[in-house]
Amino acid sequence: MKKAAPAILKFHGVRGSRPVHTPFNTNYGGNSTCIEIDTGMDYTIIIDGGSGLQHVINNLGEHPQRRRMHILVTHTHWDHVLMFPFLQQLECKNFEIHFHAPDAGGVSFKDIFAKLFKHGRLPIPAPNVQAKLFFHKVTPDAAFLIEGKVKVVGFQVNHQHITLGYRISYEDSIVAVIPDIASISNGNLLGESFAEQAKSTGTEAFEKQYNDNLVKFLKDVPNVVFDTHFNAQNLKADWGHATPEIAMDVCSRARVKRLFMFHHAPEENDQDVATKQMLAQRVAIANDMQVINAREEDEWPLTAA
Amino acid sequence: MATNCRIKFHGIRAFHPAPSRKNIATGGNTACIEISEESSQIFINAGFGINLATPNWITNQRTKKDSYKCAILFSDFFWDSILGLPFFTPIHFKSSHLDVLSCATEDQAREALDDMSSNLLTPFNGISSFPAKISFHSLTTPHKWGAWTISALPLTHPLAPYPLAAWRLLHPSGIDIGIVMISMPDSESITNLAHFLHGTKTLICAASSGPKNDAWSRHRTTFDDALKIGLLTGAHDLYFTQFHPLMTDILLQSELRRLHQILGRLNHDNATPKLHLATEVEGIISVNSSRRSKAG
Ligand SMILES: [Zn+2]
Ligand SMILES: [Zn+2]
Repeated sequence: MKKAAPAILKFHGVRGSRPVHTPFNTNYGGNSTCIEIDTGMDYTIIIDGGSGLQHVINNLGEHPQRRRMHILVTHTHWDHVLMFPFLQQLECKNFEIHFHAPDAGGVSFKDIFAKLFKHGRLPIPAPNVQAKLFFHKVTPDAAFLIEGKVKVVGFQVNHQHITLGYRISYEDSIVAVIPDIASISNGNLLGESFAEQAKSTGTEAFEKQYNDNLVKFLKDVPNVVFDTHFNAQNLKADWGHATPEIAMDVCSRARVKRLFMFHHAPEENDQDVATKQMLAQRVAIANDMQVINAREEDEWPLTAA
Repeated sequence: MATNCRIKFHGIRAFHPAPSRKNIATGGNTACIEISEESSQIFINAGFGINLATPNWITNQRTKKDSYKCAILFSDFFWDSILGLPFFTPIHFKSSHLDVLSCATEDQAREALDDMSSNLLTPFNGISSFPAKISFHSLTTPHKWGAWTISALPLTHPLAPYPLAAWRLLHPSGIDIGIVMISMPDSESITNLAHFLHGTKTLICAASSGPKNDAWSRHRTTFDDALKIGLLTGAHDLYFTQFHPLMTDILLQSELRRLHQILGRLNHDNATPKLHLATEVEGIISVNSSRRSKAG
């Protein structure tokens, strides 16, 4: 049987914490997190609804055959959800939107989603929802199929509430997206229930287990998108983010081929982001790993190497 | 009494942020205007633009011990006017004091800022979890803040269960700034605004129409409405702001040209108001009681 063409990884928003526009960051872009995995089929897969989602909204007319959208939500911090109320596809008849998301703090994603549309907060008239909406709860370590073809596996990373990294496989196209993630060491336990788990197994044992599992989750995944919000100088571990060094350490142990650095800090201008890649690539070359800066509106075929 | 007052637009977008290469000349952050005079700092709204004011605050070499005070005037509590606040550096310092002014009640304002900083949507846990002292003022009469006298016109709006506000800032030196960040575009609202802002010298007014007449802009004043308000008030300078995210630099420039043509046809004496697009990239606008100039 003929193999499908590789899926395309599309970056629509690569900034973390908040969207930011300055004349000095337009090369890498100022929109917050939104990534698309384009399988070329009649549905599309989106990861997160930060302000970068506006590119997907504005391109709606270009793909009239697409009547289904699957949105994988990593977590519900503003930089990952703020564009959902403006999703014009909500008003499209004969359109399906599937949200795959974890709960946060015991609250379902569906309830958090509803809060985004609160009367008095929403700056636009409430959308006339005509699309069929489906809310699928994703638990840590969940594995499920999208459209019977795309395999998704979740992994709870060290960030507030339940924040999920996703490994997505479509035929030979494999990519993992590791959103906001702090390295786990010295009791820096941010994830929901992490402290309880550490209590029962002992902190050191829990941390070792978590770190081993993260490497296992990414083992031999050819393409990984990883949070590199901080650098070694400005790292604030309890804020829930990683650095290029942390990303490279995890990815080289997992024998990742291509590391895409994303969730660039809003304070970083184009020069800062470019320097970040240059420094990282120098180190990564020894591990036979390519380091690439995620850049808004860049597209990468998800080839095996 | 001479004074040096400066206006800086940190965020000129309504609805949602629009960072893009197509918006380099105007900007892509959501609403925030900074009005500073001597040592006082007033912000209108705390959209994502407010975070562009933070580097100035840091380079002023403030430390945790330095006390800092500012006023934030909220025209409304829609997401695009409040979401920048959790990242506004001074809110994370105990020595800061933020005065929140609006036409909403204290409970309504608190609820909005709690929604904005909810534990489900941020790493914080409601407005009281920030170290800064935050005082709420619900304006019914003119309010003295530093040397300024701040007046608010309450506005009803179908998208809000609380009153929105238009602002007028008066300084003893004669500086008079009118600000409309959001209003319904019906003739009654426009008449009320024109009455409230009559005689203002510098008018900043929302022009939120999009490239198409979409549902979003139906609840907002357009470029034409803003011009109408400018003409009725007799303002010297009119700054359009609160742009629709789809209005790129090119489209905004062409709107400005169209408005200039309309003004020309009216053959208005001295061609006032002078029309400007509010931009994030332009330098600070110096406003002075006797002269106005733009610094690049
Ligand atoms: Zn984030
Ligand atoms: Zn986060």
